[in-house]
Amino acid sequence: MAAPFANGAPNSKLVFEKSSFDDPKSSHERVLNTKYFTHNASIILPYSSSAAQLQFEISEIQDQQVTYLIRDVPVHQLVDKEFIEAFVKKGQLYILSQRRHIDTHNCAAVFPTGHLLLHITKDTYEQLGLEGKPSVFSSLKPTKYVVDIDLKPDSFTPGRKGYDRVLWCLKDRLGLTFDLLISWNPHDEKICASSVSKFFKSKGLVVSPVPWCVQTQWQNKVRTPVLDSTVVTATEDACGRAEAWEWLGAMACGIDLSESCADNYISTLSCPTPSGSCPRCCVLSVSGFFTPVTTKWLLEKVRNEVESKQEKNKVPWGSVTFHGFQDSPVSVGSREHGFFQEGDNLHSFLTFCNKDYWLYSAYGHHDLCQ
Amino acid sequence: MTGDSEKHSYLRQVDKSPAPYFYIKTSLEYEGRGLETDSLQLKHVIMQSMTEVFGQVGASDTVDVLKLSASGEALLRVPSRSFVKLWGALTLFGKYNGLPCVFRVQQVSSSLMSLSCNSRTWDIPAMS
Repeated sequence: MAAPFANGAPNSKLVFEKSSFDDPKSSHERVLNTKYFTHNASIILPYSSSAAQLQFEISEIQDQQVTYLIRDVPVHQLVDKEFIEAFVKKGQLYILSQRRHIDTHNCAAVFPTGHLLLHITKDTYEQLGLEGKPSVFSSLKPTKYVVDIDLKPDSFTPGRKGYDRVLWCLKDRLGLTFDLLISWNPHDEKICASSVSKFFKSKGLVVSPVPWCVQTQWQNKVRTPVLDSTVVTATEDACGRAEAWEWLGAMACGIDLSESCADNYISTLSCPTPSGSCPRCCVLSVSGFFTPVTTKWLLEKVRNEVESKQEKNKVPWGSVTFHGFQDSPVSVGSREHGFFQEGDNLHSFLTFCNKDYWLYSAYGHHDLCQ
Repeated sequence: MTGDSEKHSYLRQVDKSPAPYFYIKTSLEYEGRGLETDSLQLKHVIMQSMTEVFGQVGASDTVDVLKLSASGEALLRVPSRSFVKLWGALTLFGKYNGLPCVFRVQQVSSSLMSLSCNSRTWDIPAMS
């Protein structure tokens, strides 16, 4: 008898939350504040007028934060006392290693909580000599280890045993270097956020600003699903959350649903029913390295578009999706994140004009779901 | 009392079981001829690859070609139960009409939204 064919598809996780921005217990602020690294934001806005325009300038995104790419940074620079005092303790610092694959390479990140996280391979870990934990996604024989160093305590200072040991291990035992994406929000508004780039330049490193890249598409006469913020399971009057999620994905990927139907040979994906006609739909995608400051700004702009009372630019609902880095060592807060076939960690807000919102949080197989 | 709780009714649903569909971003490349293909042909090639490895019954699940971009990248949708079979069939497929060819799988995900960007292929202008 033939053995059954195992399914084998990885377990993905999709968390759906329905809440209101007016709810004092709403978790949208907490989610965005702890989603430290965002790579891309996709905005979808179906307008009810064919002459509609965006009411905000996406180029203002550059005023929210400055990001730098610093090449070949020796990792011991990040535990430099001068650096800790000037930047880690005096602002929110976001650092992520670039062009490193979390499943096979060494990765590094610094969070605004003041923690330096090294996500390193077994060989590197054994040479390093600092205490860490095996990655929670490891099998019986771990191949990746996580070393967490708290940079903020006053006791982490030259002359103390712990600091000297960390510095010696990072500097003398191992010459680890990374290309780092870095963004800093100083607590003191009088200090310029670009100071961090001057610091690294003074150390003789190559620093270059990271530009953001925007793509805007206006689509005419699009079929859009009819949504009701109180109806999450499909009914005759409104589409459910699952149908809306797939439709949003199709729009973000630029899939043309106008000609597809359920018995089409090439594709059976079609716009969910009931649907309405939308004269003009904006699909905007902006890529870069975004911190919570920018993601909160973007969510606010999308909310303003949806909640504004202008007849001309009426939008029944709008969506903004924040894609995290696939190779980020954490997804939200300090929850470990990995890559197994896919490294999804994204949060999608579907906002309604009555201030309700649906939040989709999609994680890959290697992620600690809440 | 009821009005207030209904106004801010909070709902949370967690799906941890395999999603109904998986999505694959792939491209079909021919030796020496690049990415010459169209949606209809691509669908035919994909069904042929499934039939070659798993037979007619194995290839009975629907594979949708959602999009074929000018750069040759295709977005496929497949029921989760056939996801591993399809990926395996694409990997093993190597010849169409006598021409050597290869499927390159760039990205997979259980949510279509994820395939709209890929941080692994992000080309920072400052780096290049």
